Amino acid sequence: MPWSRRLRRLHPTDVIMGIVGASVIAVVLYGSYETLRSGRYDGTDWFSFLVAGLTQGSIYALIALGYTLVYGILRMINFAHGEIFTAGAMTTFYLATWLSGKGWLTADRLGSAAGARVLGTIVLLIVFSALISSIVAVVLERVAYRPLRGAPRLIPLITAIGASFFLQYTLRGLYGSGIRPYPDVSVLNRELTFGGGYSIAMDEVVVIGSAFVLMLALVAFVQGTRTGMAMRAVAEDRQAAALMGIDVDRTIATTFAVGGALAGAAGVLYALLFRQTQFFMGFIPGLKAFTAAVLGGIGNIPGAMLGGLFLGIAESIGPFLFLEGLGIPSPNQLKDAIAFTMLVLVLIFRPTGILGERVSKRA
Amino acid sequence: MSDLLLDCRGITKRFGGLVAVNALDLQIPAGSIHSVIGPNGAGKTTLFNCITGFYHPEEGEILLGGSHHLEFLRTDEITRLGVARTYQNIRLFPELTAVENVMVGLHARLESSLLGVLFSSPATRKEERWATEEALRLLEVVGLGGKGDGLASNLPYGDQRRLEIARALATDPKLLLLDEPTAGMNTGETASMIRFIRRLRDDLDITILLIEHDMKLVMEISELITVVDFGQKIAEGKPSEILANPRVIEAYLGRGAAEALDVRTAAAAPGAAHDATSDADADAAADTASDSGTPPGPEPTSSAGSQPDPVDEGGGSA
Amino acid sequence: MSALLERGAARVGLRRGLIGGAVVLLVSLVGMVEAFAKRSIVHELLGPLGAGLPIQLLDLGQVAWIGAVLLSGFAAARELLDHGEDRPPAGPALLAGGITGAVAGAMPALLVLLGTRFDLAEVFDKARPQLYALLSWGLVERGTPSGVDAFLATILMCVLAGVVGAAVHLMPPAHRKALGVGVLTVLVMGTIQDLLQKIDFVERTAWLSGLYDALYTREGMEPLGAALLLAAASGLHLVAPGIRAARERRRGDADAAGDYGDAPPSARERTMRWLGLGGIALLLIWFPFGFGKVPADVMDLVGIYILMGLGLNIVVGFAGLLDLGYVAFFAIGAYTVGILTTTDPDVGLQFGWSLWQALPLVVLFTIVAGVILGVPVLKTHGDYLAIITLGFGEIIRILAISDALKPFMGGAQGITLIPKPFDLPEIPMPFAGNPSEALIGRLNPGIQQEIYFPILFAVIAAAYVSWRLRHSRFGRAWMALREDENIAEAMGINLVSTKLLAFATGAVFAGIGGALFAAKLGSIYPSSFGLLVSINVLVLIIVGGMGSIPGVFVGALAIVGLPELLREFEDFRLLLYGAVLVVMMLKRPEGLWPAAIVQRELQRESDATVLP
Repeated sequence: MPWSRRLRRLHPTDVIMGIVGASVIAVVLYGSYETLRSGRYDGTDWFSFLVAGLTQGSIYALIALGYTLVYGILRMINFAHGEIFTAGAMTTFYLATWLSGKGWLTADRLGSAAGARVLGTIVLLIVFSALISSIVAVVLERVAYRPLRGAPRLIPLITAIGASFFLQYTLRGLYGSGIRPYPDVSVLNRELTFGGGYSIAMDEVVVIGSAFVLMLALVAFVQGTRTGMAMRAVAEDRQAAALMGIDVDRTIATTFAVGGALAGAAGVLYALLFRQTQFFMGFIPGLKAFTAAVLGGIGNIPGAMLGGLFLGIAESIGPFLFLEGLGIPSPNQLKDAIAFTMLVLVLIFRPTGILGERVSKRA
Repeated sequence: MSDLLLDCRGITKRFGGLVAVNALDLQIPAGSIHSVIGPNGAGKTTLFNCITGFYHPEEGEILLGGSHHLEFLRTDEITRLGVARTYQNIRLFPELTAVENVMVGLHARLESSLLGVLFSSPATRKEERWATEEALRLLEVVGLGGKGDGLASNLPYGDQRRLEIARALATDPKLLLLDEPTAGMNTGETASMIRFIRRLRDDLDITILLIEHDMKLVMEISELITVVDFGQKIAEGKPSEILANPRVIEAYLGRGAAEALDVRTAAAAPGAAHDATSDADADAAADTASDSGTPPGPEPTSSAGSQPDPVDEGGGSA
Repeated sequence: MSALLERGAARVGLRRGLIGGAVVLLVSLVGMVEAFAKRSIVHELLGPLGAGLPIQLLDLGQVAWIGAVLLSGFAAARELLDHGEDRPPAGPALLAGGITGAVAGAMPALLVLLGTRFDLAEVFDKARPQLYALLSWGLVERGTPSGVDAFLATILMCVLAGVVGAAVHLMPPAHRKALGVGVLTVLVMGTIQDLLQKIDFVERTAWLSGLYDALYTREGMEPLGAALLLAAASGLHLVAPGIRAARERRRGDADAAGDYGDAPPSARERTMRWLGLGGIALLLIWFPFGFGKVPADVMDLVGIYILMGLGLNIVVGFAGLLDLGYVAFFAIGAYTVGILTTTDPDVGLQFGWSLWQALPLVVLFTIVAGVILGVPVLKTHGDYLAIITLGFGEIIRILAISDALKPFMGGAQGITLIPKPFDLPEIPMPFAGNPSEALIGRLNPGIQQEIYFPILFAVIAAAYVSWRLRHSRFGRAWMALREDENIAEAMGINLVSTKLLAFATGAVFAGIGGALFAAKLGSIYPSSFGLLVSINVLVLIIVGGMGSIPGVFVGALAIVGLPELLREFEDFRLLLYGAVLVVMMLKRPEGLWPAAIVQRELQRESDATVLP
């Protein structure tokens, strides 16, 4: 639409929101400028913030994929997705502890046979956790969501909120409310050092690497297999897909299984990184991952990946970059506020996300 | 052309690469009954959506009463200026009663303030009484007397159409846009709808703009007909002129048919054919609407891809 | 045999048994069985007959898991119904119930068998010997080495429960329902025993305390009392339809005359209504004096939640805008009062105002906050709106907890030393013999509850405002918005002002709730303003019935009041809320007390299905 027409149709609230958005940007820029001018952090600091952000972001991205897959196919936000992530991580805790007791997670260096066994064990844990989360996701879909197909939109959403709390507190009941320390994989605490003080911790490498492999696998699955094609078809047009002989219920269940598996895998990675599990560990990462999915454009697979990484980096760099520059004390406390502010701003100014909502082709 | 109520000049609406309405001119004199016809996906409903502010055309002007530029206004402002409409897929408030549906239509004509409502001021009480009576009266007008109590979604299909008209009338329109008002109705119901539309114009002085596939109705009721195809006006004139226009027949049946068939029989046939299909569609829509009790369409911005856009025949349906 | 297996009884039994068994495992392993076992319902259920048996009393834990099996048996029998039947054929139904019970019982039985051999507690926190004892009727506790008898006892009991459940479905529907009501009454009365103990006037009134003593032992109800209660409740329920039918008939005449849903009631009905309202008002005023401190404390909380519920009901129930950040307004109200009134020299603005001076500002701030938070979300719908408001709520909480705003909001330490709303003199407690002093003593607990009356007043005012708005052009505009935003706009409704009005009204209610909350507790901490508050409020309006004003009251009593009284629920509160939300959405989305119109239509539908 021509600009003159847009201007004529401008509502006062649009103007207000424009001013709000502009002032947020101005504040961020000013804060960043102040920080950079003060030279508080040098290149290696920024590098480590960036790597930490990428690590966290790749976990967000894995969870975000689950939101996006389900949204793409059902147009519903699976609010309980964060709990699916927790279910995998918490259940795997016991396997990890057991295997750790057998010495499967101990090695002097990764290059040795013992090191290979450590990596193999981590893969095993990821697979196990993915399996558990997958089962939880499928059961959830079958019991709570499937009967609500075609119900008014608020109803599945409220159901999902209920399921989220149910799962969270079921896990609390089953496994207790205490923090369970994940076994320490000491070989992953080493750092890969480069020249000039730049370094990456091995666990960060493992997390980023695994996430990358899993995302590639997902893309291959969605693009290259018959089931993946069925998923895309159902996402495009459920009725037409059903007429083409695609078993819609099964395809949706598969989608939940795949999304759950990714969340379960993310759960293990998260636990490796933070070395603890607790029943509400999934709630905030779940919300963040949802934010990531929205950032990238919900329903859009590459969008969820990019959104996750972007959010992770913004969260890790943001507090030091612009909040500190504004003279805010303990800016890291406001990390979560940054994520939610981004969510709010994106939803307001570009609800279709960075890459665009995959379903918004229509007028 | 002395007293134009609605004057559309060169309006163009695009969806991506698709031009749904293309430089369309439409002049509606006050007090007339005017029909817009054309094949499915020709852009008729998009035109309605432009006039009522659901869509905003990229180009062109829409003038109401010679002075108000509708293309810049919001839907509610346009309604307050006296433009009301009904919808191709019935769009009632399903979980409200019939009376409440009509009372929502009266919203713009009520003036009670927040304080008046909270303290139940005499003026508010009087206004509420008036609103209830007016709503019941309007239900009576469309032939739904005594049926105000039930949920809108539980009314039979024909009654839902009537209720939609009652709700539109409640906004006190000068111009009423009817989108396939007789879809899904039988011959008897259609005949009474024709009488009813005439009465609206004659008794209430409401100008009618009509989209309709039922050629019999269109030819009988319209004073002027505009034929639209691919978003463009291909013909305009009195019913008799339209019937004889080869471009119209071509648009409906394709070039070959127009050449092969006798002009007169061809003019009658397509109407019947379209009528049948639209009946089936409308019935199906009504069935799903009343079965599930859910609104026929989802919200626009985040709606499911498989369902048609709420106020549209489908932006990309051509 | 084949007749018994008719309609796939075995398959149905197996399926229902597996579901039921999973539920039993769940309630056992999350710890409900053990926690609820502390609450006895009927004391020495079998009387002298049960002397040799390990079952001494019926407790809530048993109700939870045996009840699950029983309901599974019932459901299995129902699954055997052919279309249009009331009752399934007896043979297959009982068989299905038995199989259900056996399959379902096998799971806890196996759990006991495994648990007594391996240490499951390493994984499952609640898999403790106490649980195994409860699941096996104490047989495991007695240290039988093989545990086979415990295994069999559990299964046998479950088979019995399954068969009983199925047998209930063989009763005529009216009797079945009456029995259900009776059992429910006994369960409720048994559960609330210690609540009754806490009510002052029960103790003080001779006939009530006599009734109490007749009905209850120290631990659970008297078996005879329970049986009588069951009989009485069931009997009443059987008789009630006749009375209701007569009333319906009278109302039916009135309906035929009136045409619109809220037809003006007859003069008599109106008097009755006013009398009823007056009675309720008197009861509410008397409540803190008669019930004593603990129940009145709970009522304060219920009242605050009702305020929030009424507000969220406008936003979600009327206008259909799912707001998950509703706690933000509650927090704003509480912090406004905290900052303006606290006498703590380190926090706040040192205004030293009273609650009453602060209240107008609370209203103003929450209106502004409602609009500020409302404007950005004007163009978002449904899911996005929910998430975005959730984000707002979290941002407010994070800000409140942060060091950045600590000088004003106290950071994680919160704001303390918020003065009480009234400066009342201490009244000495009574001593015996002096009638006037005794009277003052009677008033005393009520006066301790000084915040009760402001809350009561605020609730009444909010309910009135909700009701006025609901039946005005604003309420209709909200509901049109909820039903179909585009069409609402085409009715001349200004979406911006309509949505903002909903947000602002809802915000004011929550803000006043927050202000009273701060004044009641005297101190506020950011942890009191988490997402859980928003969820609680959402759950209560959904349980009550979205869009229904009485539903808010019912929902608040059920969702906030009950768990406060039943402390052992505390650990499972959110688990149960979650389950309640899911089950409500699946089975009864209209809520316990649906909005009037929905109610009428449901009635109409059920009439239509009963009559051919």
